[in-house]
Amino acid sequence: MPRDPLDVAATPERLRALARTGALSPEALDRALDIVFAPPTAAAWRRSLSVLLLAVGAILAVSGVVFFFAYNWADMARMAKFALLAALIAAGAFGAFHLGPERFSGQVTLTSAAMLVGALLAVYGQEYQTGADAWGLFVGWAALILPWVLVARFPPLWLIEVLLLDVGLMAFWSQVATPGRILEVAPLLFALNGVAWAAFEVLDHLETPWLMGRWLPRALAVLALGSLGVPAVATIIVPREIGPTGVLALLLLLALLPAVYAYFRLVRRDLLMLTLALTGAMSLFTTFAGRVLFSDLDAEVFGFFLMSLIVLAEVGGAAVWLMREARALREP
Amino acid sequence: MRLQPTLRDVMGALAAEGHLDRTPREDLAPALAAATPWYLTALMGLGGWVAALFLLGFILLAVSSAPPPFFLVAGLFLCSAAVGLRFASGHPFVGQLCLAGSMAGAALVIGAAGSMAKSVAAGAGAAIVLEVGLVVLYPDRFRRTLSAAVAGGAFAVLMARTEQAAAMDIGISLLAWAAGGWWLARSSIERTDFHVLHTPVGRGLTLSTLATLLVLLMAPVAGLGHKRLLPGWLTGVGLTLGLVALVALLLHEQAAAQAKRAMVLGATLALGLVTLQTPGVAAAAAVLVLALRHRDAVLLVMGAGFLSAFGVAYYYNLQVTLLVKSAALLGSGVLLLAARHVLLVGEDSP
Repeated sequence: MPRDPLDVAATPERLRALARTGALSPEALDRALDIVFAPPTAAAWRRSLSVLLLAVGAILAVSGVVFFFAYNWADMARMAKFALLAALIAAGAFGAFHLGPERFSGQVTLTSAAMLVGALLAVYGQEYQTGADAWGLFVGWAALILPWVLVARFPPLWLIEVLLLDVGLMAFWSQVATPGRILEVAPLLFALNGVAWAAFEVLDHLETPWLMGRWLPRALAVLALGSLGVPAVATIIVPREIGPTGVLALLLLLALLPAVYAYFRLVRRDLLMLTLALTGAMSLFTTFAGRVLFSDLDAEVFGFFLMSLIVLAEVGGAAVWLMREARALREP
Repeated sequence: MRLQPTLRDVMGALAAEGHLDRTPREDLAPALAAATPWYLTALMGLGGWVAALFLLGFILLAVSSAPPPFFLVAGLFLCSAAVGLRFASGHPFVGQLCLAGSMAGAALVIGAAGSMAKSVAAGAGAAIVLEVGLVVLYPDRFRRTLSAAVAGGAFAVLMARTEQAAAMDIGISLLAWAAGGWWLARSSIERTDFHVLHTPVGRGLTLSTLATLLVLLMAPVAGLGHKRLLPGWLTGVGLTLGLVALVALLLHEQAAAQAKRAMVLGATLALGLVTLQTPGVAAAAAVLVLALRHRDAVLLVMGAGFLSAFGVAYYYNLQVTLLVKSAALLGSGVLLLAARHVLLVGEDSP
């Protein structure tokens, strides 16, 4: 939410609302709609198209390379595959530093090279059938690209790094540490995502210019809270099957959600985070109500009716509450 | 990349042109309240879905032995009551109740119509009629978007029921053209009494086009649907023609020079030809271009999200080999990067 109300997007709905209050005359509204519906200028088109063509072009080209190696062309020599991928990665890295890692074009090029590192590791596993577990690929990939992630200062690349570590950790837990009991990784997963979330909240607080808004801290918050949410919900439904890890996740979440709400209400003023915290709390309560109605009380038919009323009351109440909070957050 | 102008930009321009004496800072509250943040809309929409599912479960279990006409009447009653109540009150509690009621009601009507006629096509036809009615009558942006998407999806189901690949190809192309045409008519529609319909219908039609493409690609992989309904080269031709027409109109709008028009249209046509067997690329490109033209962040997210999902679905598609897919993706990627290079010749790139 922009700090100054004048910095919100001028949507037709907002302009019509202003006209209804008399703040805009009919002529002024007509002219305002002209401005809003006007096509972008040639310079604006060039700017946005250059970003779009680069991002989509890079995604398609990297996907094409990944598909090519997934085809596993038998006629292509092993070393030729490695050489081709290594050459592409090197070209990407040199290209990025030539373009400048602080510029969008350099950052996208470096991100493409980072993605190809994963392809190289996958081809290595494909060619040598090392029998290594998948976690090694993801953790190795994350480790190899870390210097580029640090240099690029590009939020999407940071998100890729965190996701690779997440997948690596989950694969390690399910394949090596406690096979078949993936939910037990939740506290570690939360710790990993939580540290990343906290770090990027600090960077956002310091108004770090390369953060591109608040989307990365918010995405990391979803990952952190989600990593506790899954075992917590499972614990409510089938407590005996999940064990102490689920109880720990539930307790952590119950402690964390009010703290998140208080922090983003009183200190950072972020309505999306308030919505996220409230959604988490509602998910836990709805699951609990469902368990009581369907499992403990065996309510069956009437249970469905009550559940629909509970969800309606929760979401309706949350909407009223959050709209009130939105007004309060706009106060200076 | 900021998409839309802000109130500050617009107010500044109005003041500079003498339409405004002062910036109405103290009158901004209604303007700010006029637009619900997307995440609140998403929460309310999701809540409506979940409540509707429980309500539907309750009705189906409570009167499971009732004949299909009972469900048809019950569904129509729920939809009518939801429309009436929603008109009477804009309170969020009432809004949630009406949203859930209208969704459950629509599901009952569609299911009952299909069951009574023992035909999926009849259910799809009922869905189109009912949802078009709800688009016009139900005063809520989320519900209108959903109605337009369901109506578009039902049209695709009708095409699929013909079990003719050509009908499906033409159906997808028609949906895509309808969505594109609707977006291009924005300036005209937004100045009529039907202005509230424009954005939700445009987003709904776009969503149904992209979802239909994804479902057709994924259905045979999941063991559902027929391989012969997979989007083929005819879909590619239809979407490419749509993309070329869209780009031509935008170039005309910009009064671009002839040489530039020829070059951009040639590149667009080349992209379409390279990806004839990969129709998702042309579809995503059209949605992303429309998003930039209309500065619509939701469309931008839709296009980018579809491109990612399409990449995964395309990987598992068994119609062509990974080598052919690789060539199409690599070729289109290199083409777009080359187009960017040409665009920025002599300029400082971002």
